[in-house]
Amino acid sequence: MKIQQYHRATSLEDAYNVLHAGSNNHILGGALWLKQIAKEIDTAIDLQDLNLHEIEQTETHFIIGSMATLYRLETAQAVNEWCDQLIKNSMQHIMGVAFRNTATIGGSIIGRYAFSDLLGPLLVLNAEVEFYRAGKMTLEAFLNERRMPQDILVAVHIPKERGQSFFKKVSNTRLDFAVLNIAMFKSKKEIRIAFGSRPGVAALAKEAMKIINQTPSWQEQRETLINALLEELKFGNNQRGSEAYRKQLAQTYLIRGIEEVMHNDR
Amino acid sequence: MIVEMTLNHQVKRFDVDHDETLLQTLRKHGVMSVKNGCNASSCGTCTVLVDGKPMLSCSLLTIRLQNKKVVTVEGLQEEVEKIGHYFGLEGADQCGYCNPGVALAIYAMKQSLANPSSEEIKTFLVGNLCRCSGHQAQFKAVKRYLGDPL
Repeated sequence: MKIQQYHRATSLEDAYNVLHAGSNNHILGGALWLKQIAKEIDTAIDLQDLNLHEIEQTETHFIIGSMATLYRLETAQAVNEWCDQLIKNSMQHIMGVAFRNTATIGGSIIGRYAFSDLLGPLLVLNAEVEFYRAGKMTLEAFLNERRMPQDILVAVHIPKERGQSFFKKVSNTRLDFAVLNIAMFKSKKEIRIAFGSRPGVAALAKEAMKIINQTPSWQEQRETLINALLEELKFGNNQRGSEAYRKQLAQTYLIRGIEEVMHNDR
Repeated sequence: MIVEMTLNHQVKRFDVDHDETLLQTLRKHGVMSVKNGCNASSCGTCTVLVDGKPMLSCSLLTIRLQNKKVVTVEGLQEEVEKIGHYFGLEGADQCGYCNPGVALAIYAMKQSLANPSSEEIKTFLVGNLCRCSGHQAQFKAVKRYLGDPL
């Protein structure tokens, strides 16, 4: 990776202006993935002085600054107590601690990485992303946007909601990207389910969620549930696993996950 | 660009390129314990402590480390010798290439986790790969080091 200029931003407005001053200017998160994919950057913009690394809470939400590291969020006790350790359980399988001390929440989200183990858990927690200019939108809406935003991700907002969680990463080796990951969260209102690394980017299994949330005796609807999942979400091939393998995993862990969040709720 | 940092308890000034990594800076200035294993944030041999936290020097831009405190095994001799002692007792030491990185990760774990379980130890150290020992002897050495009353 070649970097022509380095700019340490003094404000969000300053960072935004530099970002828009050239099409090959980039915001630096942890820069771990950027280093692997970017050949040349005109101006690298560093947000480290903008106090975006804090994790704060209001009565209703946790607000995670976009420059907070993965390890900081993983070890944020209050956040993990609320979400039944879902964040911690999903992050512990992302490389090692030294990696997670470097990678940032913002960098992990903004790239909409298909292999991400974090996006699924954030989806089922109904997270919202806050941009400097565009303001807040649901993470789901952001993931569905076609264009990469030329904006600065400021924070992630996670609603405070108690519940039971399930997370499973299936991978060929412990440090490899997932063949498939599955996140579930059962709040008082509903169960939410997301599948990532399909190998497409994480998405909510809305049809399956509808069935399970509207059917008290879901065990009798297992086939319907599985069919709804496989019809709605696309599972495909890549070097880590085949479509058929992913579909088999998805069915198995859909049922196991539901059983677990239901069981733990008793 | 000039970057000032505290390296192994001494204030240092380095003239670095915009895209220079900490790994490159350190090795250029004779800190050879820091190894370039995968250069892809995966193997942990380039681990250093930045403000006390284990981080991957192959992926850190030096230019971002203005006024930070960087420690390598050269700056942590006493503790590293203890770790090395237990590695020796357990026969965990073969080629030694991964040792500096893993020693810093072990030290950082001791600082941040009180009485870690076996699973917590494995989770903390999973990012520091050893291609010789198969990790079992290292794991035993870590357990003995953590139990060291000193």
